[in-house]
Amino acid sequence: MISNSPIRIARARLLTTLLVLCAVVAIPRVARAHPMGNFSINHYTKIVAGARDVELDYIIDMAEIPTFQETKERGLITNAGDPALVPYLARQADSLKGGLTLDADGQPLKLECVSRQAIFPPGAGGLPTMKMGFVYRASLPDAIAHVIAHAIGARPLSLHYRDDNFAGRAGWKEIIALGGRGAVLTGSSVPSRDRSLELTNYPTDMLHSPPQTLEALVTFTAAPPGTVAGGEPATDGAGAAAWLAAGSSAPAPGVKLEANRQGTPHSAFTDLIKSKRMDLAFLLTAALVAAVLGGFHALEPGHGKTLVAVYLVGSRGTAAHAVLLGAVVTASHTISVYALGIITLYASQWVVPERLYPWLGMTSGLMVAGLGFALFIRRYVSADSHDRDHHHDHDDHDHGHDHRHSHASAPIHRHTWWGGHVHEHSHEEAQAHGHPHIHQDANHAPAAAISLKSLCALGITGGIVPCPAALVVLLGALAIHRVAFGLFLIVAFSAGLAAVLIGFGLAMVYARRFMSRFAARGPLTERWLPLASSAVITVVGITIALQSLAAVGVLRI
Amino acid sequence: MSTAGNRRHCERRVSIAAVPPLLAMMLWLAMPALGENTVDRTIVICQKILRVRPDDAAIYYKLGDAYVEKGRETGDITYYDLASQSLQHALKLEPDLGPARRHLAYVLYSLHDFAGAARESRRAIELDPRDPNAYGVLGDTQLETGQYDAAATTYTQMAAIKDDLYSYSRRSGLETIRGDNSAAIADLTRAIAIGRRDGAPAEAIAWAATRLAEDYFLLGKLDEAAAQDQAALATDLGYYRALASLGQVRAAQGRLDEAAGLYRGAIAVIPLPEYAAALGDVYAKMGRHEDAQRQRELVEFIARLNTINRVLYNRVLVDYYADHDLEHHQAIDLGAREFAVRQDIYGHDALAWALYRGGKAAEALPHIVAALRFQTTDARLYFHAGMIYLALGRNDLARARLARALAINPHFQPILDEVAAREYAMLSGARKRQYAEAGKSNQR
Repeated sequence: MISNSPIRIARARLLTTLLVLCAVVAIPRVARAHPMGNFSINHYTKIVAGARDVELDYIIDMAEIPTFQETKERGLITNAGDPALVPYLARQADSLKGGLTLDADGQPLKLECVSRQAIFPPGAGGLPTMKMGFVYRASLPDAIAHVIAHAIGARPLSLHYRDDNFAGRAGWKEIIALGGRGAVLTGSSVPSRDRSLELTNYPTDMLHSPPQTLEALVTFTAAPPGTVAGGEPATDGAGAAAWLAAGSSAPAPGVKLEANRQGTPHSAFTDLIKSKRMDLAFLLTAALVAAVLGGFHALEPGHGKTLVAVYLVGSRGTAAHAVLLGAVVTASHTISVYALGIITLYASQWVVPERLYPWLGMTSGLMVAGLGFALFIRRYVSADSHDRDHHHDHDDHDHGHDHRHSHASAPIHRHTWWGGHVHEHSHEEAQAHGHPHIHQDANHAPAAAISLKSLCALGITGGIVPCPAALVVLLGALAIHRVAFGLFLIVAFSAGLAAVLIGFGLAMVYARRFMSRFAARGPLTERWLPLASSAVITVVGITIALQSLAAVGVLRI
Repeated sequence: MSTAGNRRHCERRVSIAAVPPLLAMMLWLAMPALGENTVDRTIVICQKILRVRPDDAAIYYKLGDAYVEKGRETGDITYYDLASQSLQHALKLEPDLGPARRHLAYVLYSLHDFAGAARESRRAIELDPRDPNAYGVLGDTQLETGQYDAAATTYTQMAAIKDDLYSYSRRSGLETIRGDNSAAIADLTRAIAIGRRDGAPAEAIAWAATRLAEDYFLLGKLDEAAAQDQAALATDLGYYRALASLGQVRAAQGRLDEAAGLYRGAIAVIPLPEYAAALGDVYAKMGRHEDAQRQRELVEFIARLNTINRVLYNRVLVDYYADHDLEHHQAIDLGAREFAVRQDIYGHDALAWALYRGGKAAEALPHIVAALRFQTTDARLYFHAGMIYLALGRNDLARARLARALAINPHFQPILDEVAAREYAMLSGARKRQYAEAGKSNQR
């Protein structure tokens, strides 16, 4: 019994390890606890002081426990489409209004709720959290509005705001203030930029503890003539613009609610790596699990898999190319995870990694699209300008120089924009004609096919978008000073990813060969397949870039 | 000439280098005058200084200290994480910074890493054998893990260095466990007086007052307990521990509406499962079964979250399950797991109580005996012992334990106090009948 228990514990630990790894790597979006702690209630107010009215954008983000209390007490179903939500939010808007005080020059203003909504993003273990957004508007009394509107340069009007809701409950409490339509702020006890991106991001470290602001004093006056209405300078880009547009005459605005961007890095995963056992069996199992998950991960969209396939099919790649491309994608993927990890660790003061993702994605997407487009042009011209009477039967990559192949005219080939190495090259062949040749190694591939550089370029651009899952693994390990183990897990994870990508590439290569047996020299393989493949690469690149833009919020899909 | 110029140059550089520390010191001195909530202000000021002087270990320590205080005030574990980050950073810059190490020990203790806390506090004592608080944290760790003799020695060492709120209130905790209630109450009273005199943080004074209230409650002195809770609330407005403690007193006094309101107030600040469980019991006693059910669901929900978050220490949950006769297997499992790292008397008690509910009274017996080895004046312990003896058929011992529980505090816990009274009455009745029958047979 006693001698048994360590084995049992080890086994249980191993099982937990597997489960936790699965949870962390496979479903990072679901297994997130609320970043501010399970029982927090987080407040956010954006005061937009205009010449005629004052608007409060008020967001309440409840973590798992308060959400559970609310749903139980009000019989709420945590579904944004639930019909019971409408009366609930109306009541909530009313009762929360009771906790808010807004005075203009000592006169209490009457708040009116003009918009309310709620979402229920999943938190720890998929348990729901609740985020509510309200827009309250208060018209300034005529006398005050008159002063603001006509007495330019006179004494500024002062606003006093106070939030007494959920007093004493832990959480992030943030207030910001902006000038609205026809008004500018002359003074404010709170900043004009938010730290939490409207309670979607809680960047907390020892030098940036959660704000605890529940009161604000703001002074404002009419905007001097000539300034844009709502002339608050240097605000938060698109978000602020949207708020400012929502002035008094605009239709009822809403608060844009989004799920939290980070979870608690503290909970589940760290427990895995904290596990003190570091014997061989544990390491091997962890590596195996990581590799398998890496493999599964490769099957998710956005990992260069499509690119590998399309490129290899379109460019008559060989098995070696498939292996190489898979390896390059994986290597660049791993490196970018490390790089982002380093950025997160050392540069998080200046760069917020969560905001870096979309831009990386967009850059990579644009590069892919550019590559694809260049390929497309080249193939288009090549296919057009050339008689297609050559043989091509290079089933092996050691075919070298002795087969006949056909190529496009030289001028176009001299300038491949990604730096493909192009030069004139003459062959002593039956059909000897001077032709340009992309020339990298002993194996001369056809020009319309694969050069090592273009392959690397594609692989790197395809792999450079790091996945958050891998990053979480790395940072989790770093956070508890198990750097080596974290690096090791990433390598294992990447190896699994590579295996699947390479397998995929090989499958594509053989599938194409199988196909080309039937139409070895038809227009399908000679002209349309390469063209279609480069078109698809372009589209994939554009899609990646657009998705990234959407993630930043520049674009709305 | 050139040497003089050099010297002047050096002097200027020295004086420039002295500006930031001076500035820091001035800010430091000005801090208490800056506003009411000094903890928040300390945090802000430390952060500001560290942006300019990122290598200042002492300021990192001060920041960690403020986070610890903030964590104590709010009960928000996020602040302990921040505190631990700051303190570890301070130690990275200056590994021999004793106070930072001692604080780190305290954070680990608060997160229930008792082994880590003991290790760090011992190192802090090595670094500074005259640091009373390092002994304090070590003693707390020993107390929580049931090493009472060691804790007594450590607390004595602490008190020899300095007698303050912290040393007196720590000693009183040990005295309560050892059943010396009058000494415990005297020490706590003294601790509060000293704390007020020395200008200790309001939260620390309120904490000691709440502890005193709990000591009175153990003895069944409900009015005195209420007075202390009210004093705590007057010191620290809305202090959640005091709200819950006063709720317990009001429930015992039968002022159920008031008790429910107080528990609701505590839950509004921190929804701790023990408060939800207690509120559920109050609702049940009021006949508001739906509300009671809702609170119990909240307890279950928090338990589920704790499982997800892999919280290992769940004594509260063990007590809750056992009190309500639920989830026997899980209660025993949780109780045993916690007992493996924490063999204090309440660890013994929780495991015994869970085992009893799971039908394993024989296994429960040695644990409840161990829990009562100091004859701690706690009606709950005697009640559990009584029920275990009853299940084992040792009626005389059961009756004696139940009698003691009811004598200490007849309203020790809603609903279960009624169980104790009922069982006691039945045992007494049976005994009377027995005597009567024995008497009759003698007469014959």
